[in-house]
Amino acid sequence: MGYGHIRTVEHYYNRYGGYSTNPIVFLSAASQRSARARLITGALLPVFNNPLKMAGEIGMQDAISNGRMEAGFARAFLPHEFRTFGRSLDESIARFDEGIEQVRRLLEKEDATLTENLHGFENVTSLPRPTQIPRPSFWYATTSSPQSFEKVGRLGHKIMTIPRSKPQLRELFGIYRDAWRAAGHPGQWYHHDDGRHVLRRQQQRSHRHLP
Amino acid sequence: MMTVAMYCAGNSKEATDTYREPVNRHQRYLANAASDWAAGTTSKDYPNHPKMLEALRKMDHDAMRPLNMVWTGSPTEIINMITTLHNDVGGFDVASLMSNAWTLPADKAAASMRLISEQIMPHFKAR
Repeated sequence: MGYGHIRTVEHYYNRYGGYSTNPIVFLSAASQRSARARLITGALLPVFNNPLKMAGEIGMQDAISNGRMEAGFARAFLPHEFRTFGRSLDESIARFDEGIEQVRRLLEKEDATLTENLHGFENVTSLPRPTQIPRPSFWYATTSSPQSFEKVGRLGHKIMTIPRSKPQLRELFGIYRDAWRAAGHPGQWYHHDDGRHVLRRQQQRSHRHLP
Repeated sequence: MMTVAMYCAGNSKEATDTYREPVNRHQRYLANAASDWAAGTTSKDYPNHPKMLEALRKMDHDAMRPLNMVWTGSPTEIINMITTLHNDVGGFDVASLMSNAWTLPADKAAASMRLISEQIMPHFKAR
């Protein structure tokens, strides 16, 4: 029917989304029943996941879908999920920021060594290497925080949001676009991947890991 | 990416009559899942959530539709809703259809997706 993407959530222990505990499992299945649609996690929750595990699973979904994976991340917002996982709501921003940064480095770099606060590791090469080079696009789910819109624009990632009051949303998008431009990111305030190009490059790269 | 609950039918009444209760049920499930915020949970990492979730909890389909927070209607109505929101916020790249109003019967959801594909998406692809 021409839809551009398929997307699903990560939630737990409640009928509000709780039947989709791992979007990558669902999207890997969806990849086998679609040909061109992008497959977007909407979203992975770093606060409940180990970055090493997330990076490996993103690499697998990217390979299984032949380079159609896009990784959306969110901070989570349901207190009962934090309680069940034994996480503090007050750790949310730290775990989100560190988790995404570690996933990014694991996907972009081989022999990655990271010594941050929550998860440290040395000389790790996450496998399989991503099909898309340097990695699948990242989306950040954010709703109302000007600081979040600014950060996502500065980092050069994409925004995943919901409609809110129009003056507020216009202002938030403006903050995002300004931060994108000020950081010197190329192109428009959003961009589209050239799937064929990144796939061709990765096929050469991934063969290095075959016996 | 703008993620929005969307339902399209042949005319406005048919669309709203069909989609009102699934959206309202979704809102009730959200309110239930997020009830800790209403019960006094606070966090420095979520300074606005108690207020935001309380406001969301009070929203139902008929309150959300005029605010462009759900796109329910005929193809022409939804084209106008998308265009209005796009212009109001200064543009967005992708509209993502949320179908998490899961009590919508599958045949109606499929018919809506076909209408969106055949009568709404071509309008924006042509622009």
